[in-house]
Amino acid sequence: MIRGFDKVRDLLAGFPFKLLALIFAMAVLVPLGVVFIRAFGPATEAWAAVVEYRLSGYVWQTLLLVSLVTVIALVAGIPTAWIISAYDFRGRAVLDWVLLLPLAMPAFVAAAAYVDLLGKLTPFYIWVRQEWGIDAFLRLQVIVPWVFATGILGMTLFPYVYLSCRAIFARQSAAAIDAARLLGESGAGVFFRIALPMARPAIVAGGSLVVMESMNDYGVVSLFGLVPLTPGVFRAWGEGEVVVAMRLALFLMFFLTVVLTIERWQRGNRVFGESSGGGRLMRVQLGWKKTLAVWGVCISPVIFGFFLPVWRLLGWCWDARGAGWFAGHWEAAWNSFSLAGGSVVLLLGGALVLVAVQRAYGSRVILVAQKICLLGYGLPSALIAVGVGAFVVFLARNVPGAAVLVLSTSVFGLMLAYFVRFLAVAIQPLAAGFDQVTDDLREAARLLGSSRLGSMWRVDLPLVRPALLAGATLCFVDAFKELTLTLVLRPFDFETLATRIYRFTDEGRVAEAALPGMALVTLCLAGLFPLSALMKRLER
Amino acid sequence: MYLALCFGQVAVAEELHVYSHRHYEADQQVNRLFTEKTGIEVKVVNAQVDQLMERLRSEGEASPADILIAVDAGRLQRAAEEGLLQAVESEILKAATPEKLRSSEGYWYPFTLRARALVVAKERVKSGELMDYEDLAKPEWRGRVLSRSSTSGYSQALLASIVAAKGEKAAMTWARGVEGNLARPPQGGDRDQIKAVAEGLADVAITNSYYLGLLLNSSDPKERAAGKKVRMIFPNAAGRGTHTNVSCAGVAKHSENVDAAKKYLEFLVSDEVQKIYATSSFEHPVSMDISISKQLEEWGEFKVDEETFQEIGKYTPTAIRIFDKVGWK
Repeated sequence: MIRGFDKVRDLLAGFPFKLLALIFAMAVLVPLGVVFIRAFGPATEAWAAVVEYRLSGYVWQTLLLVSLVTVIALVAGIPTAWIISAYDFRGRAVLDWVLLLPLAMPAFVAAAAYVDLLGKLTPFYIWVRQEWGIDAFLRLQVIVPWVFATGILGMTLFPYVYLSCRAIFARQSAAAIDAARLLGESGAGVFFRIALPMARPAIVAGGSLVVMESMNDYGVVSLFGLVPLTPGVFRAWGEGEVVVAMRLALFLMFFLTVVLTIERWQRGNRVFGESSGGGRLMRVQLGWKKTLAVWGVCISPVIFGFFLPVWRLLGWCWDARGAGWFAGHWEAAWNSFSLAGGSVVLLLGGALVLVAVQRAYGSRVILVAQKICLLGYGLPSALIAVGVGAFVVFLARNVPGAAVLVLSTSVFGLMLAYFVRFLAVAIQPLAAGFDQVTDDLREAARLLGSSRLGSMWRVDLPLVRPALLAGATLCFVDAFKELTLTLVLRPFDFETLATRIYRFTDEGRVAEAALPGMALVTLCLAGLFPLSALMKRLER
Repeated sequence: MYLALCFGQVAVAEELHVYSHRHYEADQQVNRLFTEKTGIEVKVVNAQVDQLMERLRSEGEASPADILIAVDAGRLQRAAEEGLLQAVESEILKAATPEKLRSSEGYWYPFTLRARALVVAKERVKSGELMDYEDLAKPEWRGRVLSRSSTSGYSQALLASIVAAKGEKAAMTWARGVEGNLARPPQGGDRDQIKAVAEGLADVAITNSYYLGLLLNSSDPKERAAGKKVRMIFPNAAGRGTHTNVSCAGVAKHSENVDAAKKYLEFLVSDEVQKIYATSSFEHPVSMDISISKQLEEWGEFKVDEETFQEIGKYTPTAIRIFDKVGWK
């Protein structure tokens, strides 16, 4: 009898929070659910046309884009990680930081700095036509935009590979590598025969982030005229072909699921790479010649992925000095700030319920909700966009009083989409922070008479303040630079700095994109500190 | 909140809500002028016309919109068929606009004409070498033609007019031929195509005529120089005429401000406003009187393809299908 009563009380404890957690989980599942329901509805004539004429193009362009970008990111990321981990040389600590800089360069901002270079190639094209003939000329016209688009994405995304590989090089394989060195294996031999195979799970982990980001990109590919699936989804959505958009989004979902499954499976293998002895890898001291060489290897991707775009953007900002300066951008900047700020409040609130309250009550329901919410980050942006879009249209048409939510006039849909997409970004640092608070501290507080939430408030929260701050910064930066979802779900006449940069670039007004572009990059730089700290902690 | 709504209701008499696809500086100038003359404030919502129509649909009777403006007659034809517009009777509008270029029931009226012209490199294309749209599909133009993407309404309307004039099969052959002659996969807007011709990447660009006017009168000396390297051709002069679309406006179905809306439409075709458009955005006046703009006079008169005009909306879906079939991006 009493035990039964306890059970009921346990179930009811924190009931409002459990309900809230379930609502969050529902919110994340909404776009997925909507897309599944609509996509398997009756096909339209438009879908038949898309299958006949466009689908194969969308699919091969997606696969080619993703593989090229990933290869570029791996080629740039793995050797740099190896150099920083295995060698000691002048300026190593500086490079360690510099290699993160491309993370602060949103790919579509870099694209703004590169897109006009494409136009400057005309004399080269004309020369090719004269010397090599019309066929070479025409082929070149197709290839060059691909080189630019994949290069830009690869050079801005490679730090994901760098970060994950550096961690594994530095720790996990230290013993084996040191042994190989003692046995007289050369630097390259150690790298190819021991470090590389052992780092495979890290390569896959970093690589899958690159795959995700490049699959979700809309800005860069559309600026260079590539048409993989994501722009395909948006085209169908824009033309009102909802079912087509949803089905194409499911294709994206399928590819991402395959990639994430591979990643999971590889992470499972990680155990085999673990060194039993532990200890850090001994770094080999380099002479000045080799120091120059490794500097060259490490700095080149950063030049393309950060310094060159920044230099060009700064140049345009300088040219435009005085001419109204930021005048036209204030409204967009305010929109960006308020959207990102609002998202931070929502996301941190959500993450606190899912992480902190879960811990206070040890609730399994909330834990399940938390796992579901983490999934949001793995959903394709295009799917979230059309799923949330269709959901809001449904609400506005069918729920009395909800008409004000309609996409054209309110940011409700946009905020919901950010919530789904970035909740994991808030949860992860918080969870990492709470992992460091030991149970005995909390127990002690409870013994002294605090309630569950009271001890959470007085003991845990002050201790995880750095994690909260990190989470807030990451969410803010992610929402601030978001482009793909914003382009689809924003109200009319509503611009953020990101959409403004994209529009100016698209209209060939790159010089005007420079100032908001630099503003964005500066803000993202601020986000690098908590990001690198978090990455390091997650690696541990 | 409630108070704000009340005041909003009171203020309606002084305001005109325009949903517009157009976002040029000339439009802001025109709106300011309208307010000066009538005391009626013009509130504009800018977006793609498809989005604006979607918004009208979802707002229904509650829509604040008085006027819908598009840059493609086919779109307003569809809006009228869907019941998003109401018919307007006006002698002024009837007198000012060509009968074949407006809605026969008075649902929408044009206020600028936009010719889909060909811009060629002066140095590399002799006069008489290129006369018609049909020439663009000939083999001697391989690797010399530029066009923007088939997702653009301008491209779709041109092909729709060819479907209307020559039938679907001939239009497909044409599209396949032109696609094969493109110097590069479609990218950028009309202005980019003209610049690329000026730089020597290709020899001819399919573009709306006013874009060349904007380049020739740009504040950027490089753009002016690019504009001087090219020449305008109004194709099919000896035949059905040059494909011409219109900027057009109609009164929204649920507008409660019909008198002011009608006044605005009439204002758009007044001599004063027509001159603003002809001299600052270089679109052609609905009267086709080119003497009101030096730039338009320089280009000379051209024959408007009036025969296919009313069928553009009908054949746009066909045009999109053809683009897909021939792989025109």
